[in-house]
Amino acid sequence: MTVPARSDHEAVTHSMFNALMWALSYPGEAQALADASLEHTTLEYIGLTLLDLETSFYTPDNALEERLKVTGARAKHLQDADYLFYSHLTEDDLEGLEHAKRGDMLYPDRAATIILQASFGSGTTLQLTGPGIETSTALKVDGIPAAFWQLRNKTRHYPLGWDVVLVDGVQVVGIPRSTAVTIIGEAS
Amino acid sequence: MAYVAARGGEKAIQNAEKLHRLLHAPVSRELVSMIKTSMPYLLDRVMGEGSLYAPELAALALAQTGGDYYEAVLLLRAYRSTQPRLAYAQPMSQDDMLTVRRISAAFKDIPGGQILGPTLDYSHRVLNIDVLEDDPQVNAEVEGNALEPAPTPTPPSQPAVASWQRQNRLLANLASQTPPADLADLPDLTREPMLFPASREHRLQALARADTGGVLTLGYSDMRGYGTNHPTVNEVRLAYADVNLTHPVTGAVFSAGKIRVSQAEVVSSFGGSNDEPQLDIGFAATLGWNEVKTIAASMLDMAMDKPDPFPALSEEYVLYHTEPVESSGFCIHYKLPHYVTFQSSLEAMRKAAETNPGEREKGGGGEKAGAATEVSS
Repeated sequence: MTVPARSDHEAVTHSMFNALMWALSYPGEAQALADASLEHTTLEYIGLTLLDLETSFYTPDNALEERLKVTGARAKHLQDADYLFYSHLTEDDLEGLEHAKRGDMLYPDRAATIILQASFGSGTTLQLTGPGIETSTALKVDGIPAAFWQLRNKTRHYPLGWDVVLVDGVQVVGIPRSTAVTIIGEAS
Repeated sequence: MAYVAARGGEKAIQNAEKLHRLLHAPVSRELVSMIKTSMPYLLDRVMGEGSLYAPELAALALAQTGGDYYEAVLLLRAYRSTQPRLAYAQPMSQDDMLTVRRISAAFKDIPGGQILGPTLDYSHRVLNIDVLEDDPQVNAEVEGNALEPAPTPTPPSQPAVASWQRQNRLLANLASQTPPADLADLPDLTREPMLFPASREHRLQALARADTGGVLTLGYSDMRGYGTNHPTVNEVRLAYADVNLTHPVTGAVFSAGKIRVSQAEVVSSFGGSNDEPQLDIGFAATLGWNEVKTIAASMLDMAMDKPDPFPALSEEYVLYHTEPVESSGFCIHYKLPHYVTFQSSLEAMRKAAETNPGEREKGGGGEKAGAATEVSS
């Protein structure tokens, strides 16, 4: 059986998809995007991987919005969008974010996936527990307001809630809605 | 799920597939092309149920499965699921289709007239054994069958019979419908699960991709009297429809090609109200030309709307059980090892026999006591 050769673009989005899949399977464990070229940012690569004509997205970043539109996905209001991209999440964004889709009991899959630019290794220490984590795991994240985690806790009623992907460089960390997050150390 | 992981037998499994391939003609481009040109109605069925209009791929699916119909539909659906959606086509209108056949059993003189088109409906249903004899006479006859063009060509499109009936208040007007501003917002059964009562869109989509045989079986049960209908075929139409797309840059609408589509409308005299009795209508359409399926499906469409329908004509029953991939897949899954469930059934039987030894001698009930049914799958 012959398999069609992948274009460079397909190869990198395929690798991105794998990274995202493993990231959401093992919350808190960083996965790297293999074969990363610097043509796009990782945030854009995630967009190019997950978005197509049948999906919708929101981002407050106008330049990013233009670049994500090439996927054919529809830019929608925050409360209607499937995928939310924040290249810099601020306290001011949280008020709107509260209205992001959480899914409903009949269709929990209709919840939003939130992709956030962050930096790992410094800042707030989070303790993650839940499926995919043997006991608990700690994650140091900077660049995300601590109030975001409180908002996430408030809005998470499994199976409803957001799936979150944090991005730093070519690394991605998944925090699906099944993961409980506790802040155990504030940024020093 | 009480399946046991079956290990071993890898070689036997590989040989089983090899044996299957050895037993049948090798799949080649020529075979695919021969199926494609010689069996359009079979392709139409596979494409309709596969929900993918791709004659070459449908021919390949049939060649690759040796004509195992449900396997071919499955291959086509599986392939379809890997393909991205590149665009949304504009809605098609009956009035714009290149209609090659449009007949009505309700009125002889329908607007536009009865267009018989290409059909074997009026032919002798006898096997032409002469073909097997390689009789030169047969070929000569075929050549003598050349069509004489009509003095005035039939118009390429034909109005819907129902439009005329609506103008004459025989049928209720359609609720005015405008397609959603964003065509991506149309309900799509291939992307979302069906809930009951199903939306109109989901119902018609389910019937369009339903198993021809399944739809016929349930439709026939309606016709024979399990339903309350005795509808009349208002219209059967075979047509070529343009797939019109909007150019992403210029915004111009253009045709990406034509596809074969068929549709049927049936009417019965139980619509409207006491004050204004009107006809009731059932409708179905599908990819490809498939008259039996669209007629049966349009009758089911009507039957499902009746209050308190016969159980096998209820919406949930019809739409779930005529899904070709789910039903055939569920059926053949029974070939998977059910060793654990079967073993537990046997144990239950034995236990029942042990606890009730007297019953067995008396005959009757005792043997049935332990019979367990497969409930795990």
